[in-house]
Amino acid sequence: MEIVESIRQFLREKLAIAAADRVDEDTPLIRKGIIDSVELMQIVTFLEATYGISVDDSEIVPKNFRSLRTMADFVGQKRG
Amino acid sequence: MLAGAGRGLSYRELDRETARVAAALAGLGVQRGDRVGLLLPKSIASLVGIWGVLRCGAAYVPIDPQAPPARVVYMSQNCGMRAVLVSGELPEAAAAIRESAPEVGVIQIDGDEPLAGDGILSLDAATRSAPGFVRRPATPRDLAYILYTSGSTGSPKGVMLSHLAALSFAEWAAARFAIGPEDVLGNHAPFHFDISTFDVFAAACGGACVAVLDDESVRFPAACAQLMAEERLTVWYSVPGVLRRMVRAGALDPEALPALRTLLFAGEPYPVSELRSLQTTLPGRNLVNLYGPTETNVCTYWPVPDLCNWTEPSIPIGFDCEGCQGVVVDETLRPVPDGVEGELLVRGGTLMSGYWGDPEQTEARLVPDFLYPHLGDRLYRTGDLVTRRADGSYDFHGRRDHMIKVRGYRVELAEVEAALMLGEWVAEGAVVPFEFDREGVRETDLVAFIVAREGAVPDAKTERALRQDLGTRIPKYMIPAEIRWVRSLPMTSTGKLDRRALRATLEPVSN
Repeated sequence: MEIVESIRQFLREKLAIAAADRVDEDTPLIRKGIIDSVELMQIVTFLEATYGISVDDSEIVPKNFRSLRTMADFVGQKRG
Repeated sequence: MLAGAGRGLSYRELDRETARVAAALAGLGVQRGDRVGLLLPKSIASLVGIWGVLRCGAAYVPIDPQAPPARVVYMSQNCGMRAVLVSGELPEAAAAIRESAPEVGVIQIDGDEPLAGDGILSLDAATRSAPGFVRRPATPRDLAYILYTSGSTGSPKGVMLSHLAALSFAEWAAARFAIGPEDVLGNHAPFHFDISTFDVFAAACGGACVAVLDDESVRFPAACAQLMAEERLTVWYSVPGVLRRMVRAGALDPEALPALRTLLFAGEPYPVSELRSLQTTLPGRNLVNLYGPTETNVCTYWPVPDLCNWTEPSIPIGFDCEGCQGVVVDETLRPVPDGVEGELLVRGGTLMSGYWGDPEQTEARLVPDFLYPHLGDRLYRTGDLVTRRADGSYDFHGRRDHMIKVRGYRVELAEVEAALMLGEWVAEGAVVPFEFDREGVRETDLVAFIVAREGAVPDAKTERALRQDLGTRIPKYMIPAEIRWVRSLPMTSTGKLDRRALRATLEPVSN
């Protein structure tokens, strides 16, 4: 939950995405056009820096980065 | 056949589904020559939509489903769309277009979720009141599609392409790359990008399969490479950036891609060192650099040789396509000798018919063919600066004007500047391109220099508000990656904006 909110805050504050507060945890962010591929990479960098994880290129796939929830789950696993 | 998201359609089934869409459109009163918007995520349904619109004798206008609603509405009003085909996946966009123009017919042809409500027809409902059989074969000059691209006057402009133009390109490409029924073309590009006309029409010319790659997977290099393997693609066509990211991510495994024989790319220069790594990663494949603005589609091509001994800093854009002819001219439109830099002008069947509703811009860019005046044809002024080599190939050197490419998309700096000024924070604004280093991949993006309007505080909060505002006006790729607040903008001695001085503040100091 806390991770979801920190990503949401990043979308709102740093990426200036107006829809950040309207998306729910399962909204497919790329498919709905809420983020693009450049913003996706910015999110990856943010998660690496904030949670001290290292994300391999092969892990940057829809399964892990489709929605706020899958991103949070992915970070949880990496830290676990 | 067509394939995508686990679904497949044979050409016979495509014909049947296309006939339903054409009948539904005719039932709504769509006439020959009318414009029909496609507001659909990438799927097989969008291909059915394209063919359905054409069968009805109308021109299709693909709308970027990720464009801000205001831009979608602008396009629909600008070309006077008679109808729009929508998807249940994009309810907000469908509603926006419905509200802005109640006279436009809206038919849902895709998506499991039915779009309830006011005036949005399901395909079943729309075919109920429709004539039984519709086939309105086009004449060569009829419009096939309109592609909206960035405009220097602050609004997007609609490039009109005829059936002749579409066919000239598709038949050239199908023959040149020997597209046949055993081929599988990967549709990576969105339909509002002219690269997609290869996937749709060259495949049809050769009877090949089109694998539609979904909007989500294509943005993940690893997922995209996996789809290339799973769909057993034989021919690939995209902007260089997509291939560059897949190579950088180590996602392209030659053993997983045994069928992939030809890779085409266009839209921006492919850096030589990275193209060499693509060649090393996927040995023995045909790599071809294609060039051409939306207004001409592909007009030159360059089969990439073995690059291990290539010492030049860039690669050529190549030779005239069969069916096209280029001529390099000076500022007075007089041809220049080989080796002298000039603007590239193009003649041939693939040329656009003009800009929708803009005879002035059309006149400026489509000029009388002074090479063969007795034919009464026109030449397109690309605005691109090139030199011609003795072997007939061209080298690209840049632009005459302020149009740049961001991830293969055309961006007129003036359009971004106009969008900046519409908000409440900007007194003066200028944008310049800059090459950002993104994890080893150099990509062009925009930097905005902004003088704050009185009362606006140039801080992070204002920047956020400004960015959100831009997000409602222009597509994401046009929004500057970086915003710098300045006290004033540099001017040249003639009182014009000094873009060179702005760029100089960005360049790393050399020596």
